Amino acid sequence: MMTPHYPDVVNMAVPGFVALIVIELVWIKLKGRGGRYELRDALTSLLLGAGNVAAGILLGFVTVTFLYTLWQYRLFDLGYSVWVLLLCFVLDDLRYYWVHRLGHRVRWVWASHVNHHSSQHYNLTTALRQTWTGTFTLMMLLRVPLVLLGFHPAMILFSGGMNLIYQFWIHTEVISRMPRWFEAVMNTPSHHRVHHGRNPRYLDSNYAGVFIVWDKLFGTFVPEDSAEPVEYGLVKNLGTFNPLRVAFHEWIGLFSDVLQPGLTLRQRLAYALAPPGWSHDGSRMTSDMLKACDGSLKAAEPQHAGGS
Amino acid sequence: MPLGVLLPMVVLGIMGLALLIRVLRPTPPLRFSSPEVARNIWDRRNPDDPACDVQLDAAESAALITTRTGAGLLWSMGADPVARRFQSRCVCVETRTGLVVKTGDFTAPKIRLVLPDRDVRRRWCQILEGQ
Repeated sequence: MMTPHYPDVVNMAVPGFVALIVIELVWIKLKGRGGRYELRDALTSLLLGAGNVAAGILLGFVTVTFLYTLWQYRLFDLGYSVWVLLLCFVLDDLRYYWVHRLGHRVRWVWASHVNHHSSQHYNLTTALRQTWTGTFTLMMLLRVPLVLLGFHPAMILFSGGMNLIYQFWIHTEVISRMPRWFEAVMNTPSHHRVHHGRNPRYLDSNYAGVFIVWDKLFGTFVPEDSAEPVEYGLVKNLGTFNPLRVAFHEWIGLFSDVLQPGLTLRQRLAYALAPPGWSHDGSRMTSDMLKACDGSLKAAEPQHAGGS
Repeated sequence: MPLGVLLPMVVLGIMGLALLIRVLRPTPPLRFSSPEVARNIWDRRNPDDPACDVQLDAAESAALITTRTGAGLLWSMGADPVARRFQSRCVCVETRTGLVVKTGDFTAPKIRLVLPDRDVRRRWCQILEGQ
């Protein structure tokens, strides 16, 4: 059976990304609402996006070679029909959910993903603030089941590209809410704003790429609460716009923690594989600790304690 | 996509967008209009170590924060605030208009403070380097 040609959709979408950013920017300027733009922040996002494209050109062969090698050992061959492509897209989105969840819960993967969350702004340029080091996380391994099931590697990569394109438009404050039926099934700007929040109650939620149903299924869905506006960025925000520092800061932090003297092997492994914020001496806080702390603070407030 | 198409598209896209943002200037840089504003921002970011004393720099773009556990800086990064409690010793370098604080922190390596008054500059320096 001949392999159909799947276009390089992400690179083809670049002019569309630029056009939508221009529209969002002009909209915000004219309306005076719907988000914020700051030159150096946006430039950092755009340069990180360009670096991601460069990393894809330089290192993309690793994933491609791995998937095509694995393809020799497939259990089935599902072919190339539209229905198979649709099934592949849905299952690849499930794969994305778990990669993304691991990206927030395992520091090794977070070191790569953190730069996507490093802006305190939430606009369409934030969507382009992508990793340069994704290959080193080895998250390509989560594509193994799809290949072994008989989805062709080119189809899987095409589905991943479409998934990434879908996620571009949800990085905006211009759109408040989509129709209720859409919000129930699909990932939307509202759901994804929550995901980018640094407020303790919003941490580690809404990992979905396209279908928000995965978060509802696996218990990680948190709706946007108008009573608690989302504050974007990291728990400890960066004091630099330098793209090199943004791209590599967590890797440097991780290795300096792992290599510090006087640790056991178990502690060194935990610095790499435990959730971000884990420390051997309890001097830092994980997202679970931050949530617990926030819960206690809120409980101590009079209105929560029934005092007023 | 051929590199000959992709590369100019990415470069021109970035340059065009940067130019447009510079022209439109949709969001002004953050200024701390009063010590209370800075205090509120610090306290929201450090609920376990609230500010006891707050002093603004002359540009109102940075604040020296004193807490029960030590000192820190709150400063504007474009339109947004960044707060740091310094765990390791900072080095302050005097300039004509103020201080450059070298933090030794890879994620916030250098902070520029506008402090034209030499006495104020020295006081900030002592507090920051005394950590």
